[in-house]
Amino acid sequence: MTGTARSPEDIAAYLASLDCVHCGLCVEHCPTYRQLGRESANPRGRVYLMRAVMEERIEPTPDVIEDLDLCLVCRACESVCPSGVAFGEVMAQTRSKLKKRGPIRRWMMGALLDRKRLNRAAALMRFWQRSGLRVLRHLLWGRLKRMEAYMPTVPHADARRPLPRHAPPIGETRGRVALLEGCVMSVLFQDVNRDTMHLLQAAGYEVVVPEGQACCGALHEHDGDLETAHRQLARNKDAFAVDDVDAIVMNSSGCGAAFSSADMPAPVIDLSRFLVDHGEHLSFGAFTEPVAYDAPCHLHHAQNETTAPQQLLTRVPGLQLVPMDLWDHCCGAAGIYNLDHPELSGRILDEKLDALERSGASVLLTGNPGCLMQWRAGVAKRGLRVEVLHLATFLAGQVTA
Amino acid sequence: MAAQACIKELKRLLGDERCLAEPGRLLSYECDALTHFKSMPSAVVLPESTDEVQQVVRICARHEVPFTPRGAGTGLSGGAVPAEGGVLIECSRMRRVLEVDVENRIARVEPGVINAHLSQQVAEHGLAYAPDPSSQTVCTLGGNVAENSGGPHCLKHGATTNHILALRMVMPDGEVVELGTPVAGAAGLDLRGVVLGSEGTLGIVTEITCRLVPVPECIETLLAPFDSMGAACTAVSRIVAAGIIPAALEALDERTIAAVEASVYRAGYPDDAAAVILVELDGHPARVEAEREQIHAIFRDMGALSIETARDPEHAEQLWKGRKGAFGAMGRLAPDLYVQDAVVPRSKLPEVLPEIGRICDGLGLKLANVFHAGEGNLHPNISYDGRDAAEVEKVVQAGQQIIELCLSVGGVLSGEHGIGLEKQGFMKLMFSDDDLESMARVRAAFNPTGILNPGKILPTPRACVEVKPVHRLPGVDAS
Amino acid sequence: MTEVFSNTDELLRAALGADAVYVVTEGDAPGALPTPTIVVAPASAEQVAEAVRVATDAGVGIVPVGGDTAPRRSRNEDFPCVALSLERMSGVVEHAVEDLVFTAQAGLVLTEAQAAIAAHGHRVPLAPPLAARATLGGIVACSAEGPTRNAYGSVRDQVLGIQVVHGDGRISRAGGRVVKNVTGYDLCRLYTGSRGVLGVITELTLRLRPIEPAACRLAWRFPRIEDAWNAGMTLRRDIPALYGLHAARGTATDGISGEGAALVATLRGPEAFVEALGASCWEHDLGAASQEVLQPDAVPAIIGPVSALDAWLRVCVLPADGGRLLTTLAQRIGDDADLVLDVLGGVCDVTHEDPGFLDPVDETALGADLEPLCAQVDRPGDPGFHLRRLHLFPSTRPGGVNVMQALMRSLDPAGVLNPGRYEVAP
Repeated sequence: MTGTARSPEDIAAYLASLDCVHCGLCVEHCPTYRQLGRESANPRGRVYLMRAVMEERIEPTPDVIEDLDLCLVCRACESVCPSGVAFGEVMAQTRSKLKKRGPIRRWMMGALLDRKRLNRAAALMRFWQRSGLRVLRHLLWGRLKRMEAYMPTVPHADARRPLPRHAPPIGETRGRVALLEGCVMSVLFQDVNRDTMHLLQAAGYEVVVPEGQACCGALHEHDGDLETAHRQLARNKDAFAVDDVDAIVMNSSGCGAAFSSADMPAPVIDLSRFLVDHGEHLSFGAFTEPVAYDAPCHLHHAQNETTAPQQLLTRVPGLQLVPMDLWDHCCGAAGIYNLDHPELSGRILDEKLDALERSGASVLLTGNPGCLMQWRAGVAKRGLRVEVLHLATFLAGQVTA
Repeated sequence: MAAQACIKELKRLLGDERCLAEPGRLLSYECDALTHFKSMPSAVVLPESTDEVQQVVRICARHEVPFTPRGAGTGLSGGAVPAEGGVLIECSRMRRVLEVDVENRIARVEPGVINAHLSQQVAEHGLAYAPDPSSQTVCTLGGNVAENSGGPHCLKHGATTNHILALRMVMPDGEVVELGTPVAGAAGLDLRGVVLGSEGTLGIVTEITCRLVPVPECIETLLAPFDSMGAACTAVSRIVAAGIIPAALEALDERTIAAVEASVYRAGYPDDAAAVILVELDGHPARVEAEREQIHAIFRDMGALSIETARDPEHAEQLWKGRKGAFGAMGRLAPDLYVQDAVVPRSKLPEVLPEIGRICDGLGLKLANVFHAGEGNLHPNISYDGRDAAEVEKVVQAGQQIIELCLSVGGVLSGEHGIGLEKQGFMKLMFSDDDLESMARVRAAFNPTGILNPGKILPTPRACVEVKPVHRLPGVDAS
Repeated sequence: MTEVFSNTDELLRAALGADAVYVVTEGDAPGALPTPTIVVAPASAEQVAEAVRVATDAGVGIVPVGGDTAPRRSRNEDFPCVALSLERMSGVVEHAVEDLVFTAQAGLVLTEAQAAIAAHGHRVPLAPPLAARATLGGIVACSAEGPTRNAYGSVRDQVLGIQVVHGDGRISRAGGRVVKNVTGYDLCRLYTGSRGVLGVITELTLRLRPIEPAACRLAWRFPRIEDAWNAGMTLRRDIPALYGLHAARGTATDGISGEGAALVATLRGPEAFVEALGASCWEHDLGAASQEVLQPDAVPAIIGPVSALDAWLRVCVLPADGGRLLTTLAQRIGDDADLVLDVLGGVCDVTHEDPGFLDPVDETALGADLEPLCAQVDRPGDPGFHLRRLHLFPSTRPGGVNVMQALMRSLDPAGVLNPGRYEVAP
């Protein structure tokens, strides 16, 4: 790196790294540190190494790359950092410099950007899952094998249909909001999108799904591909520049965090917050089984939305929200982390599953597609009788008016 | 080479995940929360049992490679900085709570258990572990034992040493000993007592039996802003002199308040005060009430701008989180931070604090004060930029002058952070050669070869670690 | 007098001056040394150092003596000793009233210190047995605990600073004059309870506490001490702010109306607090035969000195093991002794007016019964007890003995300080 001219982004990341005074208040909040126990696998150690690489005190040796790569970028450290270190930014910038991406990875990340490719892959996957070919899964290897294992049952093509571009409010009109369909969400969790739309309509809002919207690029940013990430945000900025929209409502916390970090044409609000602030007319049917809430990192830490989901749940009559240890810790999904680092991701999830079992909940709610997949895979593997749902799915099932 | 042969054996014992020898991983261990002193280990091991610690120690001893224990690395005196080329024994994977005896109010834990986690785990029984260092959400009990850590609530409830009943420890030659006992009485020499606060130089603690206390029936948190630090300190002295021992009695100055309020720990401290006193009373409601009345009277008399009482436990927690996040929040003022930890007699606070301000003003340094006022335990925080060599020099000067000032009024070098590498040089200002000789002999009785955590506490003729220049971004000029 | 002694006598006089040395020829000699005994009474730490050096050169041991209230001696009979009395070192060095910190020479008698301090509303939170003559140095050297332990902690918790003279004549200090201090090794704790084997304590800085404005004592009568203890455990669980709580039987309960055993709760603090707490205790149904409010100082035996020193057994257990301890004591010692069990601290004092009362007790059987309770047993009036005791509970404290011996060798290389005190048979 010696002699390289420094870009403004490099300098910004370096200066952000200087905010760390090495106090260590973050270390125990790092899920990878809790498992591995080594300094270079906690935020303070990682900042220290990133700084050292930038300062050219050390070479980015394989161990450095590995421990930086092991970061979930859950940003739990930012929530407890008294000095306000922009950890996610420093990490994204560092990854953009250091991360090597192979052909499978490039194909996979590319697929997210193209709805058609994504749909073809989903169709292929559905065929595999339903045709009996799945008995051959022991022939798969590596990341492909893991992806196969984590993949939920791909819904029927009908259920993957794009959302209507417009949906009218139910009852009196209170406003108009825009919705992001998302990439993974649109093929695997279109039901969550429909439930989201339904809740917004029930709350009295017209919902628009702007043309030309695209994958938010959060996974690419996570992967250090900042160029793609910035390009996707720019595309979405144009697509969401539609008239008279009060807010862009997000139901995937990863996308929400990405959108919030950009200067979007309308305020970006998570569904839970939006319904707390604007859904006072909604009423819900009673639910009496114990429910636990697992905070998605990109909602809780990256967007600092720490209370709205729980507040909404208090409005469901009879609902018993049981405390769950580690509820604000990452579940190990972290984008495609569970595919890249299955062993560590599994250890992180195991600790969470223990906490889930201790909580006694029969329903677990969260708010992000990656978390849903991770939790469902874990719950199935352990054979727990716990239903894992997106908050929108649960609320749409309870809403009465 | 001894070190290489030693690492080979350690790798065989613990495997790659728990014996680290890669350059980047080692680099992250070159300092603790005091970043002035840096030195690289040749390996870091992460044992998971007393037995493994014992084997590690025996391997190191056989190869004559020095070793140093480490908890969460939140220490502020360099106690967990390895000897150059030594082995660092990281206790972060010894984190089991082994036993909670509710009736006798004791718990037996491994050294890597996080301070706050112990209280969380015993909360269902109405119990808590009392010492609460500011870093309690991350620091380990093993580290607390090594440093005899304090914390805001140590004023009434005592520091770590008052809450540790017994220890299991691996001696520097690998022998496992049991020190202290959970029962009362005082038979024999208090070896447990001398190990507490010995900064990991006498043995490696692998099991800790601690005292738990019932959660107080009633807790009341008061906040009083003042328009001068002098008035605030006088109020503190008067509370102490009146014989009231609150659970905690803390002070924060204007600059600290600003840093905290800009952070994720914003607590809603008043922004127009020169100083804020944070008091917590706990115990029986009638006692709390009696003490509250006395304190209110003193505050009013000293011209408190207002007296606020925490509305509910959440509000109280917010006030405390702000206090406990204050050190890290100083990162907002400048890239580097130097925290002092001297103690003065409490009656001297009103004269000492302004003098410290004058010292820093004279050198043109940015000073913030946040401290355990009820114990006279000062924490002048000097924010500076380590890239500026001249400023670093001034910080060193200020440190020395502050120490000399505190000693001149009957104070001591450290109230809770320890001596470590940071204050060895000052030990002779406080102790005679004979005093230090006794300490050296006590250390030698435990650690005769000096192989365990060398170079700490007692002054050494040569520096074992380097103060290295920091922060430079190649290709960009320092501005 | 042996030849060694006659010579030592002269050497000490030459070094410290004639007024610093005297000989007790008959009756009770200080430190229960055999008469005639040379007593050296230095007036300063430097003189203590001088005396230690003279004794070392003469091959004579030093037995530090404060108020001479510690009954136990276990000096090596073959090792001639002189008594080093701190009677001339009893001055107050500093009373920092506003800081609640008190510094005095080690020979100051506790009651005199308390009297001086009380004028300012403070006290030293120590309550050793035989408080009347005990000196600060002696209390600290023996770590002589009393019932203040529950409210204020052990003797070790009160010592902020210390000056000692080691066996090689070096004078050293540790700690300071502030209430919080981690500067260097915590040698204050090491010297506290070291019984003079690491150094002669010459000066102490102690933490003071305000005298509580109000005090109250409540008593309940029960048929048996086991019942009183049970009731005590209930109070311990329900009422956390008690100052002291004792189950007792025998002469210790004289002054409480009624028969049998008793439970006594002591409350101290602000008046409103004592009143409120007293009311909750009073209303607590403990199933007692009778209950009454006592004058705060009505039953000195409960909180005061244990007087029958010769037949005095102290057993410390975990608080919840108190019941099992009482059962064991009933089996091994019988129901005849006076018992005071500190319910909160798990400390039980067994005494009897007959000095030979404990002699028939089968220590080995008692030890075997108490071992599973991890009990600490002490028999302060018996010179040989601590040596036997180390063998009674071999499994309770492995390893530490080597370190103890290494410490003694390094701070008292010639072994002149209280010789035989902590000597451990291999």
